[in-house]
This record gives sequence, C-alpha cells and structure tokens, in this order.
Amino acid sequence: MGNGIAVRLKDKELFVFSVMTMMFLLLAAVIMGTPAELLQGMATIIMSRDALITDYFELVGYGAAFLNAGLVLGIGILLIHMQKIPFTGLTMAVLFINAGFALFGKNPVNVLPMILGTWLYARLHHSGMNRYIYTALFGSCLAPMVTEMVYLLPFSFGINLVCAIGIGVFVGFVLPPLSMHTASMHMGYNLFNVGFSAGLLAFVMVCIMQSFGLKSSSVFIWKAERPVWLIAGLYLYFAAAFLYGFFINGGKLKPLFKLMKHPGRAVADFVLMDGAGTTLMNMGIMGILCTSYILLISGDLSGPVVGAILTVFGFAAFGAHARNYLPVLAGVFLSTFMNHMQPTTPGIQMGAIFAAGLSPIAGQFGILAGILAGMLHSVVVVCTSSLYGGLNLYNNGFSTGLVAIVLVPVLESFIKGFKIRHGREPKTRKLDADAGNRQGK
Amino acid sequence: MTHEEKKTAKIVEELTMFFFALGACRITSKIEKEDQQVKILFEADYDPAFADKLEHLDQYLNGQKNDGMEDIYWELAGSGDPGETSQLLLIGMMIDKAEITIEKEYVRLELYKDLLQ
Repeated sequence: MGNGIAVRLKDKELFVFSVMTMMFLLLAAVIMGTPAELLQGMATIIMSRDALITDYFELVGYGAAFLNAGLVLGIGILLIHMQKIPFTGLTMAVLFINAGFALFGKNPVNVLPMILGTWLYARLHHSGMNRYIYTALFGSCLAPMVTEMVYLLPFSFGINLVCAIGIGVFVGFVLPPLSMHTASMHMGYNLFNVGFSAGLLAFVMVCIMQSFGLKSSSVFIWKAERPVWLIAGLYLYFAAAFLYGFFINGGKLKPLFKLMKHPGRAVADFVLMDGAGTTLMNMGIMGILCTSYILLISGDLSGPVVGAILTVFGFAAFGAHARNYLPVLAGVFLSTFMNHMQPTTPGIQMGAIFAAGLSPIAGQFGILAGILAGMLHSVVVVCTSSLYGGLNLYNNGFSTGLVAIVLVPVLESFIKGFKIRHGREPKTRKLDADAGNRQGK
Repeated sequence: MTHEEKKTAKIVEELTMFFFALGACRITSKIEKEDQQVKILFEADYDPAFADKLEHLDQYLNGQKNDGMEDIYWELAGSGDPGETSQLLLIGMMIDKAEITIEKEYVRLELYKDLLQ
C-alpha cells in the first residue's frame, strides 16, 4: 500500500506538500476566528501600513494572519502551477518565504503590482513569465512601498492609489535585471539574493522619496508571546514534513547525511541533487532547529519570528542545512555577549533565524568563518533597516548580502591561501555527483 | 537577444573549470551559432583517478531545464571553485540537450542551447 501511494505521489511530492500546507493554514484560520473576524482582519491587513516590523499576529490576531498566509501561499502555488514551473528547491524557497512574510508585511493585494511589473518586463522582452516568476514572487518584499505611498503622497486617495500601484509595477519591472547582477556580487554566498537587490532598489527609491519631502518611518508592532498550542503546532508540522520525506525516501536516512556535505552555495538545489524525500527531511530538521533555538533563548513566537522560521524551512531546500547553519547561528548568539544587544531583542531573534542566508559561508570556508559571518550579520542587520525606512521586508537578506560581499573575498584570500601553503587544499574538491534524482529533459 | 552570448561563454568557462579540477591538460572548445540555437563542442582529457566523478555527468547536464533559475543565477556559472557540482547543475538548467561521450582519459560533450528571441 505504501508503495502504491509513493508511486502515485511521484514527481508531485512537493506540490502536494505545498497545497497541504496552504490548507493547514486556512484550517488554522477557520478554527481561530469567526468568518466576520477573519474578514475584518483581512481588511485591516490590506488597509494598514506594512513597513517593518508589523506583526499581523498582534495587529489582527492569529486567525486572520493565518488566513493571509494561506492566501499568499495559494497565489504563489497557483502562479507556479500555471507557469508549469517544476517544484524544485528554489520553488519551495519562494513559496515558503511568501507564506512566512505574509505574517508580517505581504498580503494578497500589495504583492500584485510587483507581479504585474515583472509580467510587463517579460512581455517587453518577448519572453514567458515562467522565466521571471521566481523574481516576481521574491520581489514582493517591497510590497510595503505600495501601501506606504497611499498614505505618504499628498494627493487624494484615488490619485495616491494609482501612483502607489505605478510604483509597485515599476519595482517589479526593474527587479529582474538587477537581481541577475547581484547574484554575481555575492557569488552565491547569500541565499537571499533578491533581498539584497531589493534592498539596493529600496534605498535608492527612499532617497528619491526623501528628496520630495516624503519620509517613511519604521513601525514596531510585535506580539511577545509563545503560546503552547503554537509551539505544538510548529513541532507537529515540521515533524510531519520530516516523516513525509522519510516515507518518500523509503525509510532511508543515509541520503540526509550526504545532503549535509554540500557547501550550500547557490545553485545548491537539494531537490535536484538529493531528491524530494531527503530535502523534506532536511526542511523538517531545520524547522525544528529554528523553533528550538527561539524557545531555548526564551524568545517570542511572533509573526515575524514564525515567518522567519518558515522562510528558513523553505530555504532548507535550497542551500541551508543544520551543518552549515549552526555556525552562523552560533555567531549571532555569541555576538550578543560582546555588544549591547540581547538574544531576545526582536531584531536579533529574526537575525539569528535569517542568518541561514549566510550558511554557504560556513559550508565552504568552515565553522570559524561561519561564526564570523553570523557575528557580522548581527551587527549589520540592525543598521540596514533605517536605510530604507522599513520598506524592504527582506532587511536580513540585504544585510546577509552586504556581509557576503565584504567577507567572501577576504576569506578566499586568507583561508584558501592558508590551506594551499599548508598543503591542505585538495587537488580537486570532492564532487558530490552521485547525488541527485533529476528528471530527464 | 538578451545576454545569450554571455551565457554561452559562461557555460564554456564552467566546463573548463570543472575539467581543470579533474586534472585536464588539453581542453578544446568550439561554439557554432545557428539561427535560434547554439551548439557547444567541448573536448577534454582527465586524470583517470577522477573517472568516478564523471559517472553522473549525464544526470546533471541532461536534467531539467529551468529558465527561471537560469535567469537569476547564470552569472554564477564559471565563478565557483573548480569541480563544484552545484555549478554543473546550473549548466544543466541553462541548456536544452547534452550528448556525452566518455572514453578512457577523454570526454567529448555536445551541448545544445536554444537562444532566447
């Protein structure tokens, strides 16, 4: 019977998992709020400012926040499915980053102008939207700019709305070429590539806005709680992901250890290299790891923190695993003993989870380099948000990009030079080419 | 046409890096561009001690083409450490078909890539 189910699921494992996650979120919403409360909550989410940090758990309650996350995830799945995009590691990353950020900034309305802008870019280049769908979905991190303009511009509501949509379309239009070039700036050592390109764009746009006297300020709405039911729900969900992967893998754990040997530098698509089952097991472990860290430091399971955990859960299909993430996480934690911040400072809680974006540095250069990267990220990320008035939701992605750009050339110079001088550089890097369950063209 | 020539050059660069890591001393590449397609001929020798590294070359190069991933990450091709397999995976996403001939101490690749209009 088990084999029959596995055969029927073949090549659809991740699609099924994503749809089940969306249904799980929608079910949680229905359990936690009445229809009237959910509708009212969605209206509040859509009409309110979304700049960092706007915690939807605190703003509208758990039910409406989960409904919003389910709807945004649904839009992502629908677009991916319509464009016939295969469910690979990057697909999982883009879907779960959207679900996660729908707990603090994205909603089904404010993401649409960016998607429309990228669609126009594709049309102008006589290309299909399938080529730019990842950028379109990642690019919705500048969604707060759309809602912010509605309130900042000095015209009537209607004119403000049209201008805001126009700015959103413009952002979606320019992000594809920008994101392409930023990948080579950090050499793939920052997993949150669009976060970095969007941060650059947001900084330029905020400067333009300020030249017209329009100034956006950060927000701080944060739910400082960690309810038992949410802890149980997260652990159950991540355990289910692990067990689902374990089942797909026919009860084999060994491939998981092989996955953890990848440095994780882009393009490390674990689904293509190690298969869907192994990837899901890795995602489950990373989810449990992140949740456990927050509980150990007595942190908060607020919307942004749960969103960050869901994001890392997705990126555990595209570069992050326990072996390369733990050093950077340790770096963020250790840095709090040397500066004025606490591990429970909201920005540092998010920074610790999102430090997973720098995992490839630990994977490539070792544990000490990873710790150093984490420490740098923890201090850079608290400065970067003010650069764009909280209007780039991927503030951590911008910070990890900066850290990678500064750190990687230095590490390459010193660590590689040291290894070569001491005869530790292998003649060839181990090629993990025996991994992979790739489908033929 | 957007960046298509640069992508072709990057593919050759990545393959060159990969075979250098396998101990190649003689590497030849040739590019034939016709209408809407480019054909890359690539020949290299390799150290037989690394023969096992070629076992899954077909799996990587003839894997799923992925236009979305290609468009974000193509500039990374050729930028990694020699022999990094994730970069070979990227090449597989960028091309439409690969014909691979592996002989003792010699590899011949014919890669086909449809060009974007």
